[in-house]
Amino acid sequence: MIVRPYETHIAFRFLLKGRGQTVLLLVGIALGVAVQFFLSSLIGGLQLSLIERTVGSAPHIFVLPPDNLPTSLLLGDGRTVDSRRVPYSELTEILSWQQYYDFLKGVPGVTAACPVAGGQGFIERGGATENVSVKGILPEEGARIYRFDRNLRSGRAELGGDSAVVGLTVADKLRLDLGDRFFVRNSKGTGDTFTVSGTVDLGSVQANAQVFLSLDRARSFLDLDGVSAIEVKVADPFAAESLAADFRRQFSRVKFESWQARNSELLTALRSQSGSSGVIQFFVLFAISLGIASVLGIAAVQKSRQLGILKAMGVDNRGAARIFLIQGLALGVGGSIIGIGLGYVIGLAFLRFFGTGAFGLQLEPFNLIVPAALAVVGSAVASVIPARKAARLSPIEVIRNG
Amino acid sequence: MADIIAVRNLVKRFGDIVPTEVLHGLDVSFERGALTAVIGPSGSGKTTLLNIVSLLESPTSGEVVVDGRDFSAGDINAYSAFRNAHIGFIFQFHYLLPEFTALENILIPHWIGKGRPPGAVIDKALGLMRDMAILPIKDKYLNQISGGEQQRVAIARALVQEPKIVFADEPTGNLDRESGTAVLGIMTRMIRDLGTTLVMVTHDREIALKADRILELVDGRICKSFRVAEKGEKAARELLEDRSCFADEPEPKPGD
Repeated sequence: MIVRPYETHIAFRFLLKGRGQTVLLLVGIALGVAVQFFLSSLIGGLQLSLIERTVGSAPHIFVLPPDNLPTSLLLGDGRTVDSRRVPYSELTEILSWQQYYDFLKGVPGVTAACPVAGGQGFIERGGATENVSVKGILPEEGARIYRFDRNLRSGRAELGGDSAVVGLTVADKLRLDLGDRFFVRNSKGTGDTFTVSGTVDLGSVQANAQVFLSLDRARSFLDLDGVSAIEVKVADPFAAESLAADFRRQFSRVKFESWQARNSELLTALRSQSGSSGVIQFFVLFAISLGIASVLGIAAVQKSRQLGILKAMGVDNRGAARIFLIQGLALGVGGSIIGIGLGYVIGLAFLRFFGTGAFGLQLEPFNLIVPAALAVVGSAVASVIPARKAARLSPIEVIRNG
Repeated sequence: MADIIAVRNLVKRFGDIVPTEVLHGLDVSFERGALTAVIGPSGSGKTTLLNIVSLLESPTSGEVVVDGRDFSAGDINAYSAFRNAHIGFIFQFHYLLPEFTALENILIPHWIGKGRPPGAVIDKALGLMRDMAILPIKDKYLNQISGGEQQRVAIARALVQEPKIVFADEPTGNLDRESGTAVLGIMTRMIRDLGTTLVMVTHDREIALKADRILELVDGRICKSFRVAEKGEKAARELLEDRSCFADEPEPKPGD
């Protein structure tokens, strides 16, 4: 499509001289783009920070022993199996964990894999008893999953010997300080004494109710022959479920659970939030397009005399249509550019007043490209109606009717 | 080839459900370089004839040849480039673009046909404005100039590309007598200077008598066609008074 010089010459003059309408349309498009940019930045940031809080300092995939109920049923073939006769260790432990651990370490996209020994324990201190989750981990792998590098609040992430890293909730409730010794009782009534080497804040009360030990100490404390789970962290948290599904196809004797499966309610909420923001953005765009269509449509009617004489003087149907398409496109591009600036100003002002932390607002240039592109496309599409009107206009009709 | 426009057996009907035939097999031609006035009562088909030969309206049937080219098919849109290059239009209403200055309006046909006008074309437009005594208003917009000035701008716009034919439909119909006469004088003088063909529809006999030839249409047929110079002005006036073409009109009934 070659745009002839007169088409832009006339289109831009129409825009320039129809100043009031042009300014209104530009402001409308700019506001639409800015609002969409702000909204998607806010919601995107909010979601990212929510997800970061949920899984940033937690495993993404859990490799667990199979559920005991299907096991007894699978033994079926006519006979029923008394679940009490299924050995206890088979139900709560992964005995051949080394095999899975070695495999998982080599999977691309997996950033950390750590065998864990987890169970319940009771800390007794000064007459108070506190229920805690005891978790034995490999120091290096575990630190990567639980982000000890940035979550450590005091001390060091040291787990050798009887050292323990204590979650913030436990430390606060029992007033445990660095170097303090505390006694943990296990479910069988025996127990062991550990020393606080560091405290961590993992973001949620539940996660902070954990006491981290070295894997070996935890296994003997909980009396495990294998491990109770293997925890996995992946580079892209949103790929966790599909990776877990892949693993499921390869291994049937253990269970793979993604964080998404464990947080399906959160994900549903996020999805409906994205959905509703998408609907809002669609209607913003739709309203803008309607505005452009109607204003340019009115302009096409108002200018039908001029269009008539232009056509008599040699403007063909295509040229008449393009005079309006160019106007729509110019409005879309101009409005988008102003909207991008406006969106940044609003975003920066918001960050200034509320800070990054509160809403997790992230001014991503990508969030600008989509609304700006949509506004340009929407404006161009909206100008198709007046353009068609201009193309169909017969010069003689106008001249005959004055 | 003396005739720049030749029309054979031209029929024009309007309306699909109740067709009205406005032109009934008209044969007419216009001489190159001549000024022809087309007169006739309203509804006689003079404007329709003008619109068809100026390639703005398609004929129902018949042959339309302009400058040796056959335009009988009547595809108005396809003739845009030809109209731009070879035809100038002056209407009763000026149809200037209010978004452009007087000078810019004059340059628009050049923009449409050949793009941004070079200095020589701008100089020519300014020359036309000077000849028509509207040079001082060149940078003014439509709402800042008088009706007579607006019509002169429209005339300059019709002439700037030096078209082969200028079509004018009641070019002074919107002006008072005095400025109308002035505008008409300028228009005919400039068209004669350029050697351009003029076909002008008018209902004003005084204006018609200034043309080389008068063509009178009545009810879609040619009633009279004569050269003013051949007849002499007095005979021409008498000819225009003759109403023999209206013979088939019903006689007014007594008592009406």
